[in-house]
Amino acid sequence: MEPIKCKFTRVLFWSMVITIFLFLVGCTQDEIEPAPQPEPLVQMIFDTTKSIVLNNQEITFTLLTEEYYTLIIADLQTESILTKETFKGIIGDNTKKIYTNILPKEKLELRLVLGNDILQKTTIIPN
Amino acid sequence: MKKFILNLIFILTVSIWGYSQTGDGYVNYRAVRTHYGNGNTTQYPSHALNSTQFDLMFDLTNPANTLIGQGEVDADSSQGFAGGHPPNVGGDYFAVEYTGWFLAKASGSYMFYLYTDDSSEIWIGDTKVAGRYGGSGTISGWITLEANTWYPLMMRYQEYVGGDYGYLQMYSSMFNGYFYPGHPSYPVSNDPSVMIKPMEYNMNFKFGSSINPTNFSVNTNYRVSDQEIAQNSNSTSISLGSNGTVNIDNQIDETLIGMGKKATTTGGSVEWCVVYSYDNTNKRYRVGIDKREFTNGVDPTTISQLQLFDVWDGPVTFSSQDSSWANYYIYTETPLDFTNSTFSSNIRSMNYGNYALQAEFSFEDIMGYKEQYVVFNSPTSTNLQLLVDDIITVSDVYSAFTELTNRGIGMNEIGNEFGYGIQYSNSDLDRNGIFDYNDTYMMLDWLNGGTLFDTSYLSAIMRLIDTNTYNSISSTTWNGFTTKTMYPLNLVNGTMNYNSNVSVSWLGDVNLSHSPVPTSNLSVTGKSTQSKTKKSGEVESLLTTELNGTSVVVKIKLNPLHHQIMGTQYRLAFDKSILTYETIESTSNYNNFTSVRDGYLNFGSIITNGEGVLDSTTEYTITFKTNKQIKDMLGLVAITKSEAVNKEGVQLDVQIK
Repeated sequence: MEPIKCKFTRVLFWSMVITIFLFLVGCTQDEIEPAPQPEPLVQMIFDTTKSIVLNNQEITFTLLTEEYYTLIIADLQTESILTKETFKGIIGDNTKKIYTNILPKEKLELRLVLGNDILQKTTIIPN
Repeated sequence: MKKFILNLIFILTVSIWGYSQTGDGYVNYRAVRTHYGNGNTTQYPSHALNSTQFDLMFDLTNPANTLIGQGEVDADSSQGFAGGHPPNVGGDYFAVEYTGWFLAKASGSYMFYLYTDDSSEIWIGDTKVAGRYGGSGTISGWITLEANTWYPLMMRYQEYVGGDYGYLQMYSSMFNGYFYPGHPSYPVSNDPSVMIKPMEYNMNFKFGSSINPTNFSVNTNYRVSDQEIAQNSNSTSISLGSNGTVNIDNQIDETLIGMGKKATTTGGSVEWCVVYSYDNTNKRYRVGIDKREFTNGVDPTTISQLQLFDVWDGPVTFSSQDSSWANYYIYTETPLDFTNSTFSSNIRSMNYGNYALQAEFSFEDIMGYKEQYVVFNSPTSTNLQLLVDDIITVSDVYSAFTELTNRGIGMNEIGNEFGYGIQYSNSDLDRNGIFDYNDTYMMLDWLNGGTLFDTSYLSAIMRLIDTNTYNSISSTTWNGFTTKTMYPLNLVNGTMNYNSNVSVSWLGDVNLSHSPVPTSNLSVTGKSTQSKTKKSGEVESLLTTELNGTSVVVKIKLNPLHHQIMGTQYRLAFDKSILTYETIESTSNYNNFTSVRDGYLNFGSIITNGEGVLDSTTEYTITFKTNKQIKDMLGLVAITKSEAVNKEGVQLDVQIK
């Protein structure tokens, strides 16, 4: 038969081991689950006053009618037009590709035109 | 030694603060009455026997010494190193100390020679080059010095009793003969700023307002031979400032080299020299020097400068020699004035305009800088192409045609097209000295992308002309201004500050749209020039683009508004990674032109015979093929330049709509 003193010692030993274990576990920083981020919205080019645009970059904008619109890139200093593209727009979001290899690397103006009216415009800097 | 150096620094500092500093050729002096003024030798011996005892003689806290003079003297004079007697300094019991800076003009060994009564020393920096102690005598010492470096110099001597003098001379194998410091071969100065004042060379390039000077950079080169230049080893590329200036101090090789010898004359009793009659055709004199005058092994072929009494002091060109005479040419636009020479008693007028001169010759080495040039670096071929396309446009070609049509070349101008002489120079594309239809033909060829006018290197189009000269080019003096990218620095030994003003113009820039406008108009009788100021925004063109399957079609339609348009030019850039140029069509029945470059094309029309105008029916259609399937085309083509020229030759900006 095991002596009472030994049994008591064993219980005390295991109690201490468990206490230390709980202490260590209790001091470990909690893993915080990152909050889910919302899906990035499509950046509307005319919603910003100035954008840096890269070659082959797609730009998006919203149209309300299904008509022939023109995208124009103009020199801010001379007001002269550098390049343009006429296209048939669709109602809702429209996405077009922009090429910048041959454009001056300076502030230019991107315009959305319907007939003679400039519907929207923003500053772009080709990169 | 430390005490001496401290003393030297103190003396130089006192000199800087206390004395007037005339600068080149001068040294400061300090004179002390020694030995109580009566020969008492209780403080130091009669003659300094070492540097320490010299120090004692200049120590004004010593009761045996009294300051009797200080100031500055011409180093190369009896008050300086050619005698040792500053003002009011003489007699017995004195000591004189000269301080200043010495410029070593070439690297190598220099000898300092002392001839004094009594003791003396010469120090360069903290090095005692020579010292002698006791009564009268001589001593010399050598020191190796670096070129273009100013060294602190101190010479001192003392007199006890008897003869009193102090001479210091110099010799170097780089410079012929013995000379006192202060001689041009051995410059001295008491101006401390020489220690911190290196050569300063500013180039001020004046460009036309349409040119950005910061796009250009320069290096400095030296002439290797008649046909070759090479970049200075210390030259690194420097970009021009926005105002066209650039400081090229650090690019210049300031090493002095032997440039031949100078022959100098003094009046004599023997006619050793003959000046033959003036050759009006070649604008020169032939000068014969008797070869017996070439002593000490002087080679007659090395003479490059001649001072002939007071009638000539300048360059000569060696011509020939025989056993008796060495012959040279003096080139001068105007005949020499022998009649009013102060040496008329040494000049005998002979038959046929010849002169015999009683002259004795001496020779000295000439030291100078290598022949050096500031040279524009070549831009990349792409940038050069863009630059040339910017400069030479339909407006230039129209102006040139109009000038010829109006018989401007005969200077009986009706049309008043050209206002400045440089325009003729810029119109002479074939560089034959005549502005004619061959040149305008080359211009048309250029507009059409031809190669008659080679613009593949910068020096083919760039002109660098002294601004004063540029401003005075007239309708009869426009020849001879070749295109080049190198400009001579014209460095002169002894000159440390340079400001060079250079105007930059361009062959083909007929209307000076990219060149500075000269300050002087043509001097043609009855001619009144008119302003050809560029006007902007008064002409329009409509741009349309279309993506049609694998074709991109660009249309540009002219809207001349109220102008009579004689020429149009557009630059259409295209993304060559996606598009390949196919065709261009024009509705114009006049001279249509196209030049296809790397990534863009220039096109337009020009009327060269003055008949008709380019009206609103003028339209250009350019077609490209795509090399891959695309759905969008924004930015694939762009009009990056456009201009028109009206009937008056005024360049007009075209606004693209």
